[in-house]
Amino acid sequence: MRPQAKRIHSLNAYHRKYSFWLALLMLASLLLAGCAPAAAPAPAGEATEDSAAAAPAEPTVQSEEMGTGSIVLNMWDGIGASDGEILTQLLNQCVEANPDITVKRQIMTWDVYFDKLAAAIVAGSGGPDLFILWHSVMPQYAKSGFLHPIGQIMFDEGMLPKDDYSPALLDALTIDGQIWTVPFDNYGVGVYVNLDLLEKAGIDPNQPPQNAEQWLEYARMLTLDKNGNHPNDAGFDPDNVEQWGWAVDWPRATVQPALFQWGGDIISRDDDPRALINSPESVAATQFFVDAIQKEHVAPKPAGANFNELFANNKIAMWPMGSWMYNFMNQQEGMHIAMWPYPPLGPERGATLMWSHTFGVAKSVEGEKLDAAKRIIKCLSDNSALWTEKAGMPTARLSLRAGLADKVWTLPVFDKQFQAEGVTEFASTRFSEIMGAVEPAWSAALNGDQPVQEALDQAAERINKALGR
Amino acid sequence: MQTQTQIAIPAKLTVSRSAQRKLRRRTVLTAYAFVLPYLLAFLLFQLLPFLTGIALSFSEWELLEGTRKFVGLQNFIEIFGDALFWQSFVNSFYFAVLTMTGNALVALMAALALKTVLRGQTVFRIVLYLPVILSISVVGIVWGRVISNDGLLNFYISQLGIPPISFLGNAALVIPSLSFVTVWWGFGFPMLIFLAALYAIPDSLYEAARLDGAGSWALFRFVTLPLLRYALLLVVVTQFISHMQVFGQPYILTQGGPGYASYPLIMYIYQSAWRYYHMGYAAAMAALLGIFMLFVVLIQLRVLGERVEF
Repeated sequence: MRPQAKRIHSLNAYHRKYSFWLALLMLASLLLAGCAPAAAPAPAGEATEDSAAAAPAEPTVQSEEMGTGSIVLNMWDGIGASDGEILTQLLNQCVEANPDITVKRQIMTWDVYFDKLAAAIVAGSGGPDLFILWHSVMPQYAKSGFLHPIGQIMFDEGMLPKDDYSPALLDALTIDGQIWTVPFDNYGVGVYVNLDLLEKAGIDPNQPPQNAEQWLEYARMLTLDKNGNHPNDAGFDPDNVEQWGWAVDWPRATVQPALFQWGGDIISRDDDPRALINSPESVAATQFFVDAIQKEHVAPKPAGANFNELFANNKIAMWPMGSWMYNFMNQQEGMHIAMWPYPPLGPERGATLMWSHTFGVAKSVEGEKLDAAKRIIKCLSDNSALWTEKAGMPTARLSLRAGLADKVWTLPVFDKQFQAEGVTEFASTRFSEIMGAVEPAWSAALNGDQPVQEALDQAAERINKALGR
Repeated sequence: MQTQTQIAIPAKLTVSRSAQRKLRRRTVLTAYAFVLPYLLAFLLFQLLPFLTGIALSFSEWELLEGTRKFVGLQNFIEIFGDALFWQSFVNSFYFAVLTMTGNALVALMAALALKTVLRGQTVFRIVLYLPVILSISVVGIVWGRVISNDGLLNFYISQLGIPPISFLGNAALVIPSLSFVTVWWGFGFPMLIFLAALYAIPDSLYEAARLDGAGSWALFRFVTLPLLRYALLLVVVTQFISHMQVFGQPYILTQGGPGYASYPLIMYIYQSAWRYYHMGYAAAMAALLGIFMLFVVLIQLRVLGERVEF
């Protein structure tokens, strides 16, 4: 009996051992899955393709129907979340004012929006009548013959006042002398600053930096390691930074304005566009950001960083980012946040980056449907102050901005800088392919994985190949 | 009084030739009727797109411009000179090999452990399998919070006085990190395959080996492992095919970055087709990927597919 008893004992011990390791594995799995820290609320705006890809928590397609009119307009856009609700509110107002129209709206995340739009165009049916396009991708649709020059038509018919729009913006929407879409808003990049951190560092928030050196000095003053040292202090530990002076977030928004300030760009803006991303000016501008991360240690490496959370947790002091962060900022209870213009960093000129959500109408839309589309666009444009007030996205209608300065704290800064030195992002029939080459190059350079010149040369090669097709 | 019924049994059962033909035809038709729905779906949704894709790979089709023309081997020639194709191919291959190996090892260990556990085995089995039912979006969001620069893992690492590690931002670490996440997500399925195979091994083989003095390692090395060969083959082949086509994990967690460090081939194919609208070029890359996978699977079958009898 004894040997058997011993064997049973040994078997039990054996099973207990495995049970222990299995339980440990399970526990580790559950812990990892369940114990993630609470997230800072996602930005209400969704203007970037990147943010859409990184936060796919919402369904990729939602639909809603507004109005009961006999003329049915299919509308597609990529404006979801809280901003999407504001657009819904506006559309409801517009179908109330135009009771013969029903708007069937499909909202998609930007990352799938253009795929579906292309598929619908090729299929020749099932696509939208009215839809929103970024100004930068508009040429692709205009040149493929998919669009009415609805901007030109509405300005010519006097439905919308052309002189109420930024000339720079209308220029960006003009191809072959025609304005192809109607700008709804005119948003762009400024700097969100954490006033509490500025105060602790002894920086006057009413004195935004006036040049690159001052900007870097502020960033140094605002960067602290775990021992409270600044980057220019002896003993500063760049591997254990507790608070960053600056965030080089999405380079398309953060680095691109600096290219203009150095006299560079992504591509040339002429009849025969070529890559400028590896020009000496563009390389110098990009190098400034790379040095800030790699040498000055005043900004974290962007890859793998969650800038929303870092900012919400008082770990970033100066954050150049877009107008769409307005509601995110408003949701940060207890924080004191202000807006600065995008800083004058480069030697050539002051500049910030501007974009626009614009309305396009499919070429296939005719007759009363075309008329209905124009009425809805006019109504949305005339009431776009609500879009600014609730979403913080500056309306494209200059006259409407005047009454909003007291209501939207970011607007005065954006309005002033956009009008004085706003530069629209390039627009191209190869826009996606060009940005698909530039963004990984910036990412590789900013994260220190590739020298700036080499990364941008490779991007330029891909861009020229795309432009040469 | 007993009555007997006599049944005349013919010396030879004869069925007319036409009846035989009819029976055979009916059998064949029944079989086809069962296969037909799948066959139709296969023709429509797999073979036709496959052949269309192959045809497309020899053409230049700019989707939005509506132009399509035959270009022969031009796409393939261009691909061989495309540095990004090779980088994304290497990324996918590296990821597939890492993940296939990791999945097979973890699944095998978990299956061996599960077979040994007598009490609560079902619970363990369910819980270990649970991650498999999660969608890639959920896995991406959860693990993004765990392994991001300021995530849970770095929080604990920093508690140990070690500087935070940029799992997703470091070009050298990003693919192993994505692979680790994928193993956590997907080892449950191969684990079940191994578990079923383990139960199919007769106990008598272990008893005989034990009588011959085999220890635990010898039992595993000379009994378990050879008899798991088919299961291992199935796991290795399916895992390789699946992970060579990785998309969701880098799409959600890194968008292919930093730079192109985690940019997989499928993402390049997808973007070429649906972002840049170069359908022909994308189809040619997909065809090359298909040929490569077929080649690797044939090697795997050759190496692991020897017949095993027990």
